[in-house]
Amino acid sequence: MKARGGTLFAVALLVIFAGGLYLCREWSIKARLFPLLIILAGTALSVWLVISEIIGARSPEKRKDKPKRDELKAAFKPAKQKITPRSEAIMMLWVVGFLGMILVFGFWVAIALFIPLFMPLFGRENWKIVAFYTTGIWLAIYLTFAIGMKVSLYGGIFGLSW
Amino acid sequence: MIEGMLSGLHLVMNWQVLGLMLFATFLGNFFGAVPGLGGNLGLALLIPFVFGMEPFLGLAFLLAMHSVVHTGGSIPGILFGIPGTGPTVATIIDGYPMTKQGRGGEAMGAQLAASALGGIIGAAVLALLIPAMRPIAMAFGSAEVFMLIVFGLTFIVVVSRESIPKGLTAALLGLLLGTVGLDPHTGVGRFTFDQLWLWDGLHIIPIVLGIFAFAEMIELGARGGGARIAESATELRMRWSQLWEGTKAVFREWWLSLRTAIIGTFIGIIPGLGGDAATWICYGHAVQTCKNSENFGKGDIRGVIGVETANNSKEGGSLLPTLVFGIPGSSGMAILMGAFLILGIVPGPKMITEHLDLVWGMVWVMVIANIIGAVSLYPLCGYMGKLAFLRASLLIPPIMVLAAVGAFLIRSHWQYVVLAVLFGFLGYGMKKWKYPRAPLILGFILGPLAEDYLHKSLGVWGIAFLLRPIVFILLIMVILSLGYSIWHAYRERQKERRQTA
Repeated sequence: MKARGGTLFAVALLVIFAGGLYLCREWSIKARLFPLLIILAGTALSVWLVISEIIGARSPEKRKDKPKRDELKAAFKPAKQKITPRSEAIMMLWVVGFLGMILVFGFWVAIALFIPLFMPLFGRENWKIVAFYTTGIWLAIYLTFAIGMKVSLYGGIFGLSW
Repeated sequence: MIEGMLSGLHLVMNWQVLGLMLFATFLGNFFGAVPGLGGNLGLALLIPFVFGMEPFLGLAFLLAMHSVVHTGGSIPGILFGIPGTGPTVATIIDGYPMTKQGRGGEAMGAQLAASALGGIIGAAVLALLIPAMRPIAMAFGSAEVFMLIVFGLTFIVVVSRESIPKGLTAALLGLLLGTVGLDPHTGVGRFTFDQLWLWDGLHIIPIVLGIFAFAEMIELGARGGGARIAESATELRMRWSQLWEGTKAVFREWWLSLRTAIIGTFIGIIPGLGGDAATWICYGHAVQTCKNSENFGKGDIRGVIGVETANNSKEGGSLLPTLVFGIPGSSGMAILMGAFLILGIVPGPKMITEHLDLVWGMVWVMVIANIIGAVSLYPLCGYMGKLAFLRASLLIPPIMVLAAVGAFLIRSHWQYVVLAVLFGFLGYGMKKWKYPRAPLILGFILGPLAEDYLHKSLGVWGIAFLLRPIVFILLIMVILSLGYSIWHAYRERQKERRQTA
């Protein structure tokens, strides 16, 4: 049987709830009463979801034939371009890359690096738009937060902040 | 009442507030008109800008933005058949066929006027209910509020009927996230992993920025760099005569407008029911109660009116439980409540006893924002509709930058940026595998409140708190609504089985 993303996601939720069960075992009764109620219900539901996802994965043709609950609503959903695992992974890497830039160089450098890299490489935008966008966004953030609100943004591990 | 109303008006009639509201309504229309952005994301992105503002100024800015999101959200729906926000999907059923028949201007006129009217009626109903709510709020002790929260959460189950376990799991995950931090009753660090920054618990803003902003951007980006939300545009000509004709239709159908606005407001009051339910119920109501209903779905202006009045009126309704009980009526209100707390405004029964001017101020903000939001769109609606054709590569950078900055600014912890990205992946997974995200937000906001009220109730009455009259009635309602949902889901499954057999 081929493992599906939905099953893995349900398993991840089960791990979160089961992990909570493990973590709360040493707390006092009063401290763990409420989380425990949530965790027990969450664990039971996650198990249910894992089982139903596995059953769903075993009989895909049955799922395909299943009539939609609200045909009218479904008919008006906009057509979306196809999302592939590769395109998902690429976009997630961009997000992680941006996060990495922030953590290492801080916000100011990360903004100045991310936008000119992302726009031409990912969106094939021309350099004029890229230059305009990078300058515009950087200045807007600087004027609003650093000058207007006088807040200091994170400077990364090198402390590049002012 | 009159005194409160006037003091609220006095708060709003200030050039600074009005200027900010004008800007906020423009932003609200923008966030609504760009499919995939929406009000929740707009609120989360704008919260960092209210740091340091005077409480009412910040509140007016965010509330004005939130009040008009669906006004702008219906534009791409009517013009191109692309819903800007979730609740505006129902508008397309009659709005888009009208555009195809060359009556786009008429549909737009009706949509704008109905949105404004709905927003005003929603705010008026809120204003009328505030005095009535006062004794109820006073009668509600910790036990009653706890059961009201449970009741609100069960509605999440009712609206997640397509997958009850998924809706419930999302709500439980939100509740669990709400327990992170030092337990206020015992001082025990729960799920803090010896991290000092987790002692205060998680903040709603990085979670919202993650599960809405980052998740939406991942999805938009995954469709490709040059992806547009819509692929082709038709020639748009908004004739003033058509806009005026549509506007007049709203007042000609005044009885329908009034009914759907009131229904929308009351649906908004029920925590967890949300905008989708309000618009679909009101559309159904319009179809069932109007004469000559055979034209519905083919371009009947009454379909647009019924949906649009409910769409904006429900915001007035959902503000009521948020302000009076501190229980947000929708995920948008949950985020707004987080912003209220940042501004030093604590929603709850004290709001209507000690800060009545603020409450009335909010009512006025909703009224004025809805008028500005609709009027400003009359000359701009054709252009706003074209926002649906923005390329992903132009949308993603500013939103990701703002989301990261917003997550950091909440408590100036870089860890919150990491958290927002992690929640972005979680939100994307939830969206992809059809777990509703609103219950997670509501669960997160309601969790600490529910726990606090549960401990207080158990401390005072023990388990017998369940037998207090109001608590008992609410408990019965919880059991009935849960039982009904399970029975309904079972019946649906049986029906599907019969169809496939």
